[in-house]
Amino acid sequence: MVKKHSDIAFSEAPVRVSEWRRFRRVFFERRLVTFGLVVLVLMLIAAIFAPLLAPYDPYELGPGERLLQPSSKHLLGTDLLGRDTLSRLIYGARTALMVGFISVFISGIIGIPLGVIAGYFGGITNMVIMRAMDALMCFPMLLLALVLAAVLREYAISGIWVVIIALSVAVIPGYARVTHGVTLSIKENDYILAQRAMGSSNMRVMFRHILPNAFPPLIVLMTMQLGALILAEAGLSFLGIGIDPPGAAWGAMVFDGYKYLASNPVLWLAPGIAIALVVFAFNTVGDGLRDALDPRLRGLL
Amino acid sequence: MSPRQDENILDVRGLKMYFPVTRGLLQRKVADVKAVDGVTFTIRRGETLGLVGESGCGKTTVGRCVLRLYQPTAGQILFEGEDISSLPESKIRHIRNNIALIFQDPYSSLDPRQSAGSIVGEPLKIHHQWVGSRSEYNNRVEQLFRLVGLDPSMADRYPHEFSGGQRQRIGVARALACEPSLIVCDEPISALDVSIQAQIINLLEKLQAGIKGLTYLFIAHDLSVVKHISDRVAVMYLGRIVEITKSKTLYENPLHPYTKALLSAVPIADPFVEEKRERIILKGEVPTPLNPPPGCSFHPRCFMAKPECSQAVPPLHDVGGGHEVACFRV
Amino acid sequence: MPSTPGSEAYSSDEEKSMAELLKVENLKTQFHTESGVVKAVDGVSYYIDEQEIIGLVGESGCGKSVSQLSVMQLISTPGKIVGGEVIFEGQDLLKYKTHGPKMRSIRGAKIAMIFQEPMTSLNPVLTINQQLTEMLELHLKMSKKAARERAIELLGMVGIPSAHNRIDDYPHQFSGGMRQRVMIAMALSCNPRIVIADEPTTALDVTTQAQLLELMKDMVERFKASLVIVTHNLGVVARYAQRIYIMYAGRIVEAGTTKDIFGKPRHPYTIGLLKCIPRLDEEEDRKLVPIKGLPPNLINMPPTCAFLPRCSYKIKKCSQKPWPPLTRLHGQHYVGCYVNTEEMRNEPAAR
Repeated sequence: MVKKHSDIAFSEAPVRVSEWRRFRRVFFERRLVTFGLVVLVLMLIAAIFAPLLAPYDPYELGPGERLLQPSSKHLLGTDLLGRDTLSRLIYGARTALMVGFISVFISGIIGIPLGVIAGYFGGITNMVIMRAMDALMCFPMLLLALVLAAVLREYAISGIWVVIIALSVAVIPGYARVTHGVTLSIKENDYILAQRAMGSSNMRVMFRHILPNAFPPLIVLMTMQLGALILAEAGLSFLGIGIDPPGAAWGAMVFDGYKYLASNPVLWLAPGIAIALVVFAFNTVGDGLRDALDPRLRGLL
Repeated sequence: MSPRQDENILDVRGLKMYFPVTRGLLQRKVADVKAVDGVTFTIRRGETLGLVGESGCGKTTVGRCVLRLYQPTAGQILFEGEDISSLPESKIRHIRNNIALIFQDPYSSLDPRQSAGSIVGEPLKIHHQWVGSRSEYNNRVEQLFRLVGLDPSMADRYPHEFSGGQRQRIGVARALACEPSLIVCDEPISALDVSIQAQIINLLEKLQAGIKGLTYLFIAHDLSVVKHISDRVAVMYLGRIVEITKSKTLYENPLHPYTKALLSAVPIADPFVEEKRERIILKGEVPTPLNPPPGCSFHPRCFMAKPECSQAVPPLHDVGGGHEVACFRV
Repeated sequence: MPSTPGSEAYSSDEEKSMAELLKVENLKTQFHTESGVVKAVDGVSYYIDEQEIIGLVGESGCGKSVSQLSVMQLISTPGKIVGGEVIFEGQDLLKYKTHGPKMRSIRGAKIAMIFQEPMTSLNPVLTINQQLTEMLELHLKMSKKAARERAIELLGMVGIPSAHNRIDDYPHQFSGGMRQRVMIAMALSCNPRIVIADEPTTALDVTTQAQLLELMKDMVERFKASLVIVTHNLGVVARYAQRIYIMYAGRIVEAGTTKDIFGKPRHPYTIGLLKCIPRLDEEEDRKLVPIKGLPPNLINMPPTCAFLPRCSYKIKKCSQKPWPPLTRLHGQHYVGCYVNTEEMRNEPAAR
């Protein structure tokens, strides 16, 4: 038998471990996480297929049908202007998700690279960037949003974009900080040193090697941020900034409905429960993701 | 690239690497960690020089300086005749495909998010004069896999799917990608099981036999392994070389008292030999490079020390046949 | 077929039990992981005499550390000791409750352990005095004052300079070598009969390693105790151990005196190990002969010999019969193999 020099390595390939199987197992371990995922999927379906699912046009006024209680014709009743609450709820999902995803995207695109650059270069770069982030974090989110909203109105930007920009700016430091911390620990690994020894450019190291390894905590952060952002959007709409009427937004619906606290409780209960449920869902799914990706992050995120 | 006609591929002269210790808000320098404190040696093309010593001796730092991962505080590093010790980073890049590094820890030296094939081929992508087309690249990666004894069909797998020994092979393949003339091996086998260590040692030896002009700087603390694989060995203590000689001579005729103690401390897997060995047990512990003793850094623990040993630093002098020792008593 | 190698070297049961300090019979420890059951220790039997130094040698995953932790009943979920006996001073230790008072009175007092990592084995928030005296007060019922005196004395014995000053220091104020000395002092503080040193010097420099091993040997002689050195370093056991057990995949594959094992190794794994490690005193062009293949996966092990895939001496019988039991060669030399490797000394190259 001719013995090839590589005989040794050929026979000893370890069994291909299924990362997916392990991930799925840990993720679905808790019923709560599965429940959260179901809620999110439902919300996604509602948002995407809103025109098909909503029984009525959410903007259609029904002067003769104001403030009706839930009935077979209007499952959740109607509001002050005669609009069907259920339809507005479904379209509200669209608004909420849009705000959530776009804000997360924008703040991520800005905050994550800032964090990587600060963590990688250290020194003055790090100081400048992180202190800027600290400064931004000093402002309470809602206050910042109010100020930005006022400023943006000067430039005739209003409505949903005010909310999105305000929220994005407020959340950028969160991404920068987490990324910065993760970058610091990834930087210590030998494979980063190997890159330098090979002659990799800084860009290559940061974006081809550090960033991909920083994803697990970032994905968890993003998921949890989505919940927080939707809540914030609701808060802003409630305060009157943000989605202008007649836009359907859950926060605005609660604002409208709380005047009818006792008489038409569905008006504020429906959107309120929707908000609570969705935020809860995002949080539990975020937890599940964190545990499945890296349980060592418990306590950190 | 035609190989230069010089005999020495690497010529290190008076290398010093001090790391400042700073205090306070303004980061004032209060002291220096003298990791490397005046190191001089040469490596001939095609040979293996072993660099051995205990923790704090500076051997890893020497390796990193040679790779210009640090900028030396003082001294010269001549690689292929060119002094790289004070070149700016932009100029260093072009030699980085000619000196490679193999790491100790097979678990943290590979990016867990990169496939094995991508890891091995990355140097080719960075120094893109090496391959032209996609198929050339794939061929080269495949060739590298075979060279180190790995199945090329595993190129799309991720590091965690390989064993420690296999990951080390991936590291070796990566180091070989751009056909370097010098490879710095920084403790390449100490994290592996004993039975796997031999596989990697043999692989390194086989590669050197097969690739003309491939030179190794082999850094390790395991004296038996270093002696086995090296042509010459340099023993370091607290940032300085105390003895350099051929491996055989190191064991048969060690001159420096630290070398003698080090050799005596390494147990040999043979009770019949062990029975007859002389044991030199040193007193005290290895001092930190933050505050080295004056004069010869070994004198406080030396069983041959005399008063003059604390007065001045003994230089490395040749005692014949390329055997160099830094000791006043020899 | 006696299960404990060497035990029938004694003429009567009485003599046997007088000399044997510890006898482990058919110890089995398993770990339940998500991928399956890991048989970390799969039927290990050995003994320790009074005042001797034995070596337990093997690579990572062979079960050497787990076996010692099992003897001390320091195994916790997902691990479980599922079989065997550990006879010490006439009693089976495994019959004691893991956290019960009887087992606790053995640990530290009669059987002590020194661990690998000096950095993490000591409690960082307690002084050395507190950690040393805790044991003395607990097991030997000493008063605080007497315990402190004894602690200072012990620190001096293990070579810590100005012990009376350093006794109130914290672990982080000591170097790695010093910490390991403190661990040695702690281990010996209550005059144990057996000291188990689990890879005690792997994390240390070579010269420090030499100092500490010499110290351990001296201490154990002084205290008239026995020492178990668990290690993967064959050189260390060649220097210090009187008898050696070679472990592979959870079992002992060869046992004997140090001179037996190194002079006439019989198990293919032992032979392989000796051929693949570099030696300071070897010839210039000696070639290392690696053991081909990988260490075994301890989950779903086949019933045949675990070393089979890597063995260059194998015969047809090896794949047909179960894992070979230990058989006696002569004196105290036992091997678990179907092949007479001595006769085949020159043949494996041809395979």
